[in-house]
Amino acid sequence: MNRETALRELSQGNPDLQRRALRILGRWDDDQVLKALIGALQSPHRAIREAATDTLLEIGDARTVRLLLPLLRSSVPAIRNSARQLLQQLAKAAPEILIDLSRDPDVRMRVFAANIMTESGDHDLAQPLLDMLTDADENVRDAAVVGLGRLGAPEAIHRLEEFSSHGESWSRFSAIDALSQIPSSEAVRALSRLLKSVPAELQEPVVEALGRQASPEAAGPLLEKLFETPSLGSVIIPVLAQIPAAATVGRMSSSDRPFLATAIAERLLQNGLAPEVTVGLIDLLGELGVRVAGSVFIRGLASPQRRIQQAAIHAVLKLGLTEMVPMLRQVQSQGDPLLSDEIQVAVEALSKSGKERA
Amino acid sequence: MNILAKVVLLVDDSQTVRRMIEWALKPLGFMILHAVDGIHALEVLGAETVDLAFVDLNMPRMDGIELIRLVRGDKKLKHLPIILLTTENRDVDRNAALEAGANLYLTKPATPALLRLKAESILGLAPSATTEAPKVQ
Repeated sequence: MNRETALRELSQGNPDLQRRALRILGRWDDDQVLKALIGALQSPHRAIREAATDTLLEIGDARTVRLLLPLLRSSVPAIRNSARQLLQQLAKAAPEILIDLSRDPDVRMRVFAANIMTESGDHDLAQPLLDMLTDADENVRDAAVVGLGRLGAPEAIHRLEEFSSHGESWSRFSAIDALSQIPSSEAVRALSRLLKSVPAELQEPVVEALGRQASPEAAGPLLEKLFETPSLGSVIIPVLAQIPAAATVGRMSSSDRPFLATAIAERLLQNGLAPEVTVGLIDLLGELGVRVAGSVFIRGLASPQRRIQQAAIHAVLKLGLTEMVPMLRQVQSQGDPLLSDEIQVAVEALSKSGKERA
Repeated sequence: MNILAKVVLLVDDSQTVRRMIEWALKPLGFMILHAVDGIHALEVLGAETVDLAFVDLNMPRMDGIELIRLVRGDKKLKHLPIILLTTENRDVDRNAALEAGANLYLTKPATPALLRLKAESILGLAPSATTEAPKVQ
């Protein structure tokens, strides 16, 4: 099919022919073809819009970006969203056009600019997003805050900490969430400071943000908060499961360990924890080296999830809970070959240590 | 988990916005489900019984208005209460959403108290102690 035939088929109303034409029009990238492709992006048929999107991505140059911008002003959400998605993928082709868009008089366009920069994943666009933090409109500022988090921009940490410290709770929430996504010790330290200063309603988001950092450095501030405000235990304890157990225990004095072990055991005996959190907390119990009620481990060993059973076996072994041997034998008799081997090793080790103690 | 808790679906391509709404609604004890766009939302609605949906307008793959039209055209889902929550503040979008069948059109920024109040109101729940009167915007 030649260019003229493809353009003719695209201009006719048959969706099958239009899709076929769209597939091959990427071979030519002159202005007439580009305009025809942009026109197809406004089709009421999703399949046509998707085919046009694929071809426009193949061409993907600054001219395409420029031609797409007016579609963001469409009154049809599907059209502006198709344009937005394309622009996200083409942002690197013409960042200066997006920077211009971030200064558009229309607030909606500035929000689109921030969203497109965010989803582009292009760290070079962090600086324009930082500039947008001074925008007069709060939705634009919020979109920029979200973007800086998504891009993991360490240069934004100081500003994000400021945004987390003042203003309306919803915008502070966005900034706290953004800090949670920047993989950096400095972000952990900013969140640790916020944990001491934010009002009660924002403490839980800060705790969860520290948990998402999953950094050993987060353990200290979280434990300090837990000891200071035990009522936050239901929030802090599940978050500790996301931090390497050794890092948490390494930051505690031995006199504090029984308190944490008891709090973890109580939480494990309640419902509603995700399996990975249960595993993390059982690991932490083992690492703490403090004996707690055997019912926690009985429950873990009886879990239908093998990874929870495995965590319980390891913790029982680590804590030297010889009284759990009958329960281990019972689980072993259920016939899971992988667990059976692990239980055998644990039972032998526990029996040996029991005899040595005797 | 409270098996009697109302189930609320949050449909937004921004994880931060979904987390923010979840945090705002947490005092009400709802069970929260997430979807990243209209197509994902339809999958969730096909598998779960949902009592209320917060839906964004601009989303990839399927926008909020198309989602609402499909929900209203579905025998099982047509009575699902839907709150559209967006930064788009033009009448053309508001009218399109309400014509498509949104129960409520809220523009961002929306305070946590306002989100709780609207959720409780649309679900016919008595306002809880955690829902203070929202500021006039």
